[in-house]
Amino acid sequence: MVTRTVRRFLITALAVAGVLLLVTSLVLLSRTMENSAEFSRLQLLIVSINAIGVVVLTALIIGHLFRMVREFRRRLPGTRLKGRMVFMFVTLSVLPVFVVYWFSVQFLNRGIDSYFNVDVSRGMESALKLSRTTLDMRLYEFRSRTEAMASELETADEAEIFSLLDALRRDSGAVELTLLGANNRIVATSSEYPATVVPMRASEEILLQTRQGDSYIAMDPLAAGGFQVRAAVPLAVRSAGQEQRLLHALYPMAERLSDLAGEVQGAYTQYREIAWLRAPLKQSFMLTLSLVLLLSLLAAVWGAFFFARRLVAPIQALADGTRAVAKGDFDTRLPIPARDEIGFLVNSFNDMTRRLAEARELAVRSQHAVESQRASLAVILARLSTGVIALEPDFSIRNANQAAGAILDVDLGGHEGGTFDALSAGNPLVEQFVQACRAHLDAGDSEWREQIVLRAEVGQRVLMCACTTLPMEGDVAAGYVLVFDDITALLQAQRDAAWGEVARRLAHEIKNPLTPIQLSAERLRNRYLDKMNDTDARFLERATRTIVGQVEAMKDMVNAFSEYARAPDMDITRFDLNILIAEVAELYKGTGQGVDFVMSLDRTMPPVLADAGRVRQVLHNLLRNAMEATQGQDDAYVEVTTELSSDGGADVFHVIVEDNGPGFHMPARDQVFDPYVTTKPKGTGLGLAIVKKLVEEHGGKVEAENHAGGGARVEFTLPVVQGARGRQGAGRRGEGGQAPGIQRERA
Amino acid sequence: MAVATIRTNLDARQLTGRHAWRASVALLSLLAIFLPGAAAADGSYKLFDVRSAFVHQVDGVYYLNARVDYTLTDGALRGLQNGVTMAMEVQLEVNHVRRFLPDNTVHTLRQRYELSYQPLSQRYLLRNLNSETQETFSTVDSAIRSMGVIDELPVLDAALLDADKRYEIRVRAQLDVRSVSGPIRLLLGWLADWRLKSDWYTWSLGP
Repeated sequence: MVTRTVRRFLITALAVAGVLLLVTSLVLLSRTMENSAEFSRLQLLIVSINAIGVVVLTALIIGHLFRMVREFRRRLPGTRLKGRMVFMFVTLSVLPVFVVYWFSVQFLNRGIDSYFNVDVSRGMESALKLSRTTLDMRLYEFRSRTEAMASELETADEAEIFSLLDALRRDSGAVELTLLGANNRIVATSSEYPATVVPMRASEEILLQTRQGDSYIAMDPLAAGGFQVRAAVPLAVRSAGQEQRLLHALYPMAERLSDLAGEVQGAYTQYREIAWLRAPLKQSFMLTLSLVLLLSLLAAVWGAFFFARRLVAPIQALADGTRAVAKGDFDTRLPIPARDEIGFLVNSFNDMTRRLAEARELAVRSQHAVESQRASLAVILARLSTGVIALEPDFSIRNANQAAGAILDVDLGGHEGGTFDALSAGNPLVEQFVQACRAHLDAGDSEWREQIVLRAEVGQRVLMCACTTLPMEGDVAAGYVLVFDDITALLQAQRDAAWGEVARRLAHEIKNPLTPIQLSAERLRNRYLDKMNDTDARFLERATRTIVGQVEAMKDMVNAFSEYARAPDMDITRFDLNILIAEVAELYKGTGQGVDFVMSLDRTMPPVLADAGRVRQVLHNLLRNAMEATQGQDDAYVEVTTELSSDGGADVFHVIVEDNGPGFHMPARDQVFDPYVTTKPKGTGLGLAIVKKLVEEHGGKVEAENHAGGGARVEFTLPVVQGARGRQGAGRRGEGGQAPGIQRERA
Repeated sequence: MAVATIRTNLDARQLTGRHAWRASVALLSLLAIFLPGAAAADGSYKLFDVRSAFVHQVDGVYYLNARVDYTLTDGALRGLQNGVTMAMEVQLEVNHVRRFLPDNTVHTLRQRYELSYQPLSQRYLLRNLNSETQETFSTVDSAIRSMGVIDELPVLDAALLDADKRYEIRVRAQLDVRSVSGPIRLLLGWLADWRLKSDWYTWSLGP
């Protein structure tokens, strides 16, 4: 964090410094435009500033370019936008700058050229020539004066030379007169400042010129300013052996003339210098201007990169955030760059992701709640004894509970997703159910309720079915829910209860008059039998016997009805069902009817917890029916089977009594167990009714059917009480290694 | 030299990762900016020549006698004719020669001249900036010739030198563009006509 702050501070400082340098260079350049002397002084500074700026900006731009190319290759979001923004910024900045540059160049060229027009140049030349002519006249005068002095010295005696020289200097106005001999030797000298100035000797150039006999005249600038005239005139040699002498004179230039001459020469020199430097000057201006232009362009390009990056950064962050949201990451939060429109957009994005996260969390919670409710509903449906089948709008099975399969005796797990009509394949009972339901569904009944009677080969089953249409989705129903229950047992129980009430009333209403009838018949016979003749006596005897016999029969019948209606308390004990079966069967084996008994008993069954007397009654009734049904058949047999199995998750005992008799001749299977329904000549019709009543008193079920090959089959079940299972294991352990399984006996 | 230093400091082989290319780019930029100047400094025309030079000691003072040939290019001559003042410089260095260490400069001297054209008198003015003396010449050759003669110039106090040590004295002459007037100063460094100097003329002094 600190490093980032320092880095940001450094970048800001560098940027500010760069801008200041650029502005400084531009200010300096504008000053040089006003004064070329300033340009001379500041040119190096300007060039240095711009050179540094060019190097720094070039490096920065190249860095940005490399970064942009790298991002473009990586297809980072926002790269194209950044490229377009950079192109736009650069274009917007480069074109105006180039226009300004072009006009500046034109202005510079024409401005500088205008300084050096022909008139000025010619004027300067004329001024110089005029000065030169004036000075030449003065020089000519000085030379003539010097030559005159030389003539006088030629004729002067050696002894007078010093005084003459001094006099000539004063008369001529010279500041110094020196007579030089051979080898530049000073013969005599006279100076206005003899104490401070050393006499001047002739230069090589003067000696060379005077040696040829010519006079020398020149105007020399003084170090302190102004001019002086230097003249040298050779003296004539009058006799052989006389050395060559030279008069060297220095004259001061008039102060006014010297100043004017100096000004003219200075101005001319400066003008020539500037004129000669015109081209380099323009080149310098152009170079400086070009550097400033280059710096401006580079700064503009770098600025384009910088601001494009700053502008695109939030958009790139938004793109990344959008991708993250698209991938399901709703926890993405973006930093808000500024309080502008982009910041508002980023803030909205953050708000949107927050809401999405909340919505997703809510959806997850709702889904969990729905799944929990669905699981609860599935458990409830699974434990529900009522069958439930949910159908899609196209009548395919969405789901069904376990009870539905149990009621219809169909594995509905394999039909989920299949059509409702497919349930009826190979199952006539279900086919009736499906047809009854489809009749309502096809008719468009939204809600209906019907008691459906399913008729089987033996007996019938009654289902109470209700259907509800699920809430509409548009114009189409979302589906249907079929709820049905097997009310066969309920109806049977109602019927049994009714029969029991009938039997009780019959027993009560019929039994009471029977005894007086019987007693009256016996009194009639006792009183009048002896008093009648034989014929009447026989008639009376026969009549009263018939009355008494029928009354007895009616009593038996009433007692049977009474027995059927009676519901004494159950005496529940634990006993071995196989042993009880064996005991009861033993009673029928010795009847001599020639019926084979086949005992298929599961010896591993645990003891049963029931009323042994009632179970014995059940077994008696079933075995008696079987014996009576097979009476007279050569190959008659009765088979009793016991086994333990699971029925809907609960263990039950199964006892099956089969015979190969003629079977049941009932229109409906359940009517077999109705009271007073019998096909036997001597039957009361209460045997199987009592069986059913006793079995159901134990919580079991009884079913009857005919074999496909002939004969009847009656199966009843008794539930295994939990306590019995615990003792089952103990009992098995007590059997000392007896092999489990079904043992088959033939009696 | 500056470029060499930068090159040493920013040796790309010492840099790692993504900073390497940035340093390379910056180096190239610097080279592009300064290389012409550096090349110009090293590629001067050797039109000046120190023909002879020696020192001799008189009364504890070493005096220099030297002869230097100055040859001006046409561009320099045109500049001189057009009012550009040319500054010449004769540099003298006395170095203590050490066996295992770099030489140590114990004394330096710069004898500076200024040559200009006087359009009014049509003569050339040669000024000795050290002695503040001046002389005019009718031709540039005579002025240059005069400038190339150095006679009995006191350069060094003998007491500054150790008689037991070996010294090396070297002399060279060059055009001093620093004294050239402003606008052309920068350009002169880029123009071959104004990059004039001689080689070092070197001789030994001492045991």
